[in-house]
Amino acid sequence: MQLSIQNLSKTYPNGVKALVDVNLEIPTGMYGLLGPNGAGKSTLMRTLATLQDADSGTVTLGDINVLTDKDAVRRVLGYLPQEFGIYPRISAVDMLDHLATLKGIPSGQRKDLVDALLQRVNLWDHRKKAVSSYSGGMRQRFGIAQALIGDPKLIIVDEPTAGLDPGERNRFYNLLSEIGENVIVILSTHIVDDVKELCSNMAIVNHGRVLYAGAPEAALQALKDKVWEKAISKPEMETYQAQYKIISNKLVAGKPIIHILSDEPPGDGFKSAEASLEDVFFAHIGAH
Amino acid sequence: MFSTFFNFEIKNWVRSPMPWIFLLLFGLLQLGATVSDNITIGGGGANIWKNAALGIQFSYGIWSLIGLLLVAAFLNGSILRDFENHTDQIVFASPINKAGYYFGHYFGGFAIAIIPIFGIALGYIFGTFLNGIFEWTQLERYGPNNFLAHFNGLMVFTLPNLLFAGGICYAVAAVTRSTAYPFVAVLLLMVGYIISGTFLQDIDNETIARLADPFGIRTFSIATKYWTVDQQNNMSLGLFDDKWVLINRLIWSGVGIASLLFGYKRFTFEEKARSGGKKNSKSSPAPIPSQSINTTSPIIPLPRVTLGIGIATRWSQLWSQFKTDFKSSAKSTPFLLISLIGLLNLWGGMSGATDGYGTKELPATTKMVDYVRGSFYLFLMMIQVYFCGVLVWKERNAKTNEIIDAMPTRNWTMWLGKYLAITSLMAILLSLAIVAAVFTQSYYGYDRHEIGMFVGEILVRDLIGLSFWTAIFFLIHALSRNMYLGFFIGVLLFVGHSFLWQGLKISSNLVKLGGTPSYKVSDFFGIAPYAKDLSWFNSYWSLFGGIIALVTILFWPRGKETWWKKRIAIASNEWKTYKVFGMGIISIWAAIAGFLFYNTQVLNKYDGETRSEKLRVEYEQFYKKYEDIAQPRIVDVKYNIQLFPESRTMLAHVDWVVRNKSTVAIDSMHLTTSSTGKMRFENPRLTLLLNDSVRNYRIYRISPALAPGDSMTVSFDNNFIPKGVENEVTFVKMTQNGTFFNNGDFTPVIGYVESSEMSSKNDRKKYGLPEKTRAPAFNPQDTVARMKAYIGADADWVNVETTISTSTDQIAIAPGSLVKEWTEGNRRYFNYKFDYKGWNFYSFMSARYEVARQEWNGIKLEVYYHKDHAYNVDRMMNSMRKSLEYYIKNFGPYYHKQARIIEFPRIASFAQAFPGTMPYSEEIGFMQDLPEEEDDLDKVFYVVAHEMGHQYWAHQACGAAMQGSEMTTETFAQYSALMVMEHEYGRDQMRKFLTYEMDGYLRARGREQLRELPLAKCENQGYIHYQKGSVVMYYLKEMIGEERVNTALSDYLKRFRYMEPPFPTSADPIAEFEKQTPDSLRYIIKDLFWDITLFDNRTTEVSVRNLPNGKFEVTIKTESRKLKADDLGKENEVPVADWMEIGAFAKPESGKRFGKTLYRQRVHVTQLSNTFTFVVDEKPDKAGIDPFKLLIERNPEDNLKEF
Repeated sequence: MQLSIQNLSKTYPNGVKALVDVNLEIPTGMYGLLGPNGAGKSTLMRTLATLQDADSGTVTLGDINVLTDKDAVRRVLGYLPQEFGIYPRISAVDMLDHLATLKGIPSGQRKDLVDALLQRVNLWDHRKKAVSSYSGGMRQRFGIAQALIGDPKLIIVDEPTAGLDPGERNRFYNLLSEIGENVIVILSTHIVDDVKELCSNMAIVNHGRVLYAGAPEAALQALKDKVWEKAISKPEMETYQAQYKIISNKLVAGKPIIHILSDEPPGDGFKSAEASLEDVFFAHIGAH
Repeated sequence: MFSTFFNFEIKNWVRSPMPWIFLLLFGLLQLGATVSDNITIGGGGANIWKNAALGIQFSYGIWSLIGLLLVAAFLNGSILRDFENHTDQIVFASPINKAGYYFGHYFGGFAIAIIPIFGIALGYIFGTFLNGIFEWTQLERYGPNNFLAHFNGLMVFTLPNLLFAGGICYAVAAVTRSTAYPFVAVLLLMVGYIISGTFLQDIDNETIARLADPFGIRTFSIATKYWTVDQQNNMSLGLFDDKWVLINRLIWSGVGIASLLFGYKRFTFEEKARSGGKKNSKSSPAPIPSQSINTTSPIIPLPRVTLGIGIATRWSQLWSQFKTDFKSSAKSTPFLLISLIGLLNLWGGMSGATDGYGTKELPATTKMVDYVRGSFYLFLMMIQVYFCGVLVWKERNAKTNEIIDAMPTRNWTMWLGKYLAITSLMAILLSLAIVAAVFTQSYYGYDRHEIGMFVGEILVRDLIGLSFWTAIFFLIHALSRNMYLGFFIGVLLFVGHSFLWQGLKISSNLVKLGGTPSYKVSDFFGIAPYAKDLSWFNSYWSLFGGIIALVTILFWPRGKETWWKKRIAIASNEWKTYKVFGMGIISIWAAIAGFLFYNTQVLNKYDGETRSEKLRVEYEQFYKKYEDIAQPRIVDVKYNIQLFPESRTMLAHVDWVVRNKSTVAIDSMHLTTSSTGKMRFENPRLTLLLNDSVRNYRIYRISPALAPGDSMTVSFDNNFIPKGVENEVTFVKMTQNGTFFNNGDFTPVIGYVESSEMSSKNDRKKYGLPEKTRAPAFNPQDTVARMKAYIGADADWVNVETTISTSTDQIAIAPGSLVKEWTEGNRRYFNYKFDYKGWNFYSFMSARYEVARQEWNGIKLEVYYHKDHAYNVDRMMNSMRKSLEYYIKNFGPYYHKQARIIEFPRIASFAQAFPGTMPYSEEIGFMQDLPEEEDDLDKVFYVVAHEMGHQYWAHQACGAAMQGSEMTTETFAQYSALMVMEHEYGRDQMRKFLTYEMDGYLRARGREQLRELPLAKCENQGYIHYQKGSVVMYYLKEMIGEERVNTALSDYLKRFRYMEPPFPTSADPIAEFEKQTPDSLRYIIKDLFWDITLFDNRTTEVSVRNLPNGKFEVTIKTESRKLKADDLGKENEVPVADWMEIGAFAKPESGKRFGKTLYRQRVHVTQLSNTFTFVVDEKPDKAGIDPFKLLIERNPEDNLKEF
């Protein structure tokens, strides 16, 4: 099964172009959707999750027309929204049972499934506690549990690791990586590491456009030997900005280290740097 | 520090739109009320200025109730701002002091909460100003701007109520740090207001009511209840003018301040660990440790599942949705709280129900149903409004909407699950209300629990009606982008729609949202007369609710699209799957709509309000010119009436003998026909000249003309045969069981009927009709006016014979004695005939009756009653007998061979007197709960005695159709009843009764629409001819003695008994009283009958000294003022030179209302301040002037003073 997005566009009433002629082919496996805040990732995700309608374009999931046959999509969809809450004062097990019912799991299979899900995400011991009393990491784990209900073929997780500490983030990655191979998992994030660690394919979006689509390795390959770095002092920044195409700068031990893109060695004290996905990200974003 | 937070708060609010929006809103609403005659806030008669001082002040009270939600919003915002914005940790980490923070924000919010209140002043001032230019309402309805009233409004209402409610809300918000609880607190406060009102019903509880109203509105109303029109227009009540108002305001402001301080004590800057969790769990993580996942352990495989399809899955989705929503609502604090209070209030309402004279009614199921509706539904609707919003927004508020929305469910399962949750909540509450009602019945020893009626009315019919609104609220919330906006629109629509239809003069139940024919449940017929029409309209609106539901489902807020274009596209996509269902429901609804339209607008066409007003105006304009032309008078009537109760059908044939009593030949007969049924006249001498079937007027030529003294027979048929469905069920006087109608309901009236004219001063002005007096001016020399008694429009004394038939299980009753009774086939026939002539004004009745019979001195005494209503039959019998004894002895012979009381269904609640026959409503007499204690008034006894009095005062002699005539009937009937009661129950009972009468009179005169008149010239003003009449007659009796009063009355009767015209005026009996009054007391005749006289007596000091002989010397200091009022209540003091009483009482025995009278002496008071000293045998408890409150007192409460 493959998710195929063609010429998808969406403009909000206030004139913001959230999606501009988006074309993507998403195969099974983990797919990273990388972009800065406000790039249109969530709009795309929600459109795929049947929560928003595009202005034009088509989306198909196997045989399903995602934009019109919403019910069919919802039956094979697992969705973890970027921000979500749970009714106050309802326990994890009750909520999961409710969601499983809504998903259409027959009552005979529901209890086993809910129990297995809770064990899978390691919330079994806390299943009777109110979800609203969970910590951030536990909530995200609950979120992934509900997204796994009903053997979904398309799983969409929107910014799942925002606000999690490194330990919880690892746990979350583990959970994601355990999802079967035959499922499309779309992971939207603005954190480059998420994609690097998990995804076999990715797209970079900004201002509603797809800037890059392909395997992370290919993207890295394209930048091989083209990224150069140099530690500078803060006052020098302006000079370098005028002179070079700076794709990123970050502080290391209080001093800015800039990365620039250049086919030729720029000299001037720049050293060759190993291209990272972050460079890919900034290179694409900066180019537009 | 304080000023920092105070200024911060002020600046913050002043820059936000909220205070200004509400200032504008209050201002506009008040302006609307000020300039429009149709909107009133707090009421007022035609003589009360639209900007009367008291009205201004009162609106501050009303607005402070409406503004409660605002107070909560402003003060909540002030204390919770930092928590809401998550700046609490930043702010509290700064070196601030708690008092500055807490009180600074409080007073900032407090000051801002006053801003909207200034809208009242703006509304009044601009309203008065603009009306001066545009004259929307007549200019004479406005007085000068009264700024003091605004100031007093602020002082008496705004500030204390803000201190009270604000203090509580702020403290609750500070302690709970929740926005919800302060709103719950506000709801509780409103409930407190409502409950304190139930204390007011019995006059003895006034002290409690004065203190218990946390908003001071009732305290204020009691303090100003006797204010006259003149006072209401020009005066307002200062904070220090009334002791009780001041105490109340101090108490409740104090409660507010105490709460504020309590909140201060409990308020901390510390992070609160909350159990149960709130929505901000990110900022307050729960103490559950995160655990690491053991990544080395094998992955537990998820069991394979198959997604269900089809209807079974939908049902389980629906069930799960319902369960989740129902549980969360039913367990929530607001639900439990509001329900509990609602049930308490219901209990209070049911157990404390009293009527006019402090007596209770039996908790019959019909009554209980009314109580549940009256005192519980407000709470039910609160719950409905609240939870409709909460449930529709539940997913979005919990931010779980994206997950839920992406589930493969259909919108209808979501809608229906929530709808059923709300419906179940209400069903549970309604069931609890029924349980409470049944329990109340048992508690009062009433064991006829009609569960079927409870369930049918409350749990079925009302739930259907309420559920329609659930659908409406769901739609509003589904379309609204904001929950609070949804609440606002919902409440506005709910509260406003009834006014809207009134304002637009729309009366069609096809248009009024949720409208059904109005109806009343009775033990006689259940809801039988209405059942069919109700079911049709219920179906019509339920199906419309279904369509609303469908629209809601199509537009269900699912997904993140808020743009209308997209939502419509999504909805039209959804429509595809609901097409069959949708088209089905729409076409059934449309079919019913068409059917009802045909039935209510074509088959049973009725006149809308505007049209019937117009027709009344035209009736007057077209036919008033015939008012004074000579017309034949009815002298003899024969009825042949067939009643078919099952089909509510009445067929009547009437033969009139009419006589020309005038001195000229009459060549035309004018008839004002009744609008019920069709009418056909048979007489060869009559030819139809004009038939105005729209305005119900006909003119027949009489040929040859009717010579003076000549008579002829006029016959006509009139039938009432109901057909189809009606917008409002008409002629419910004809029912399946319990038929009760007057001759006037189906016979025409000869000539122009003056009483059909529009009477409201303002309405007449609107239609350009000349001003109209309520009654022709009092003038004993007006021999034209004296030719008609006020009862008989087209007849004087008549003879009546009736043959009436009904179904075999019912007894039919017509005026006069029963001559013959027989059965033919399945019909039962009765023949009745007047024993003696009487007015052409009587009733016909039929029902399945039980009959109690007695005979007394050859007079048959009978009570016809519903089999379950036997409670007071003996008292009625007793009263009839005692009345007859007293009246025959003191006033003269009784001319009928029978006296009967007949119960009729509670479609109306009065008792009435026809010759020998007294219909008495199911609601007021038969179901009165009369306790054994002697302290309570026997209202049944009293009403029967009053109606028996009318057998003399009206049915033997009745005043002419002019001012003062009600005195000759109603006032004397009151007096007669008072005397029978006094002989039966003793003088103490009279004190309680007269207190009610005096209170009623004093209250009502302040609300007089036009003008108060002296008793002798009253013009159909109940508070004068009944209530003042009682007090006046009792005082007269106390002064000149019972015997002399009775002599005067029987002398009057001797002169006018069954006399042909001219009829007496009020001057005739007054002349008889004067004859019986000694010269020294003659002044009272003028004071009592010809003037409006009031006294202001008070006892300022009382002291007692023990005498050596064991007796007690009492000294009292008193003040006496005498006032004469003009017709607007303007009072002028006149010198006092009156006989009044002084006296002293012992302490009442426990459980008794009055103590033993120790001293009672009549003294002649001629100056303002007086001191009296007298000796009594026992220790006195109270003493004072006019201790029995015989005089009409401005303020009867300060007559006595305790030692």
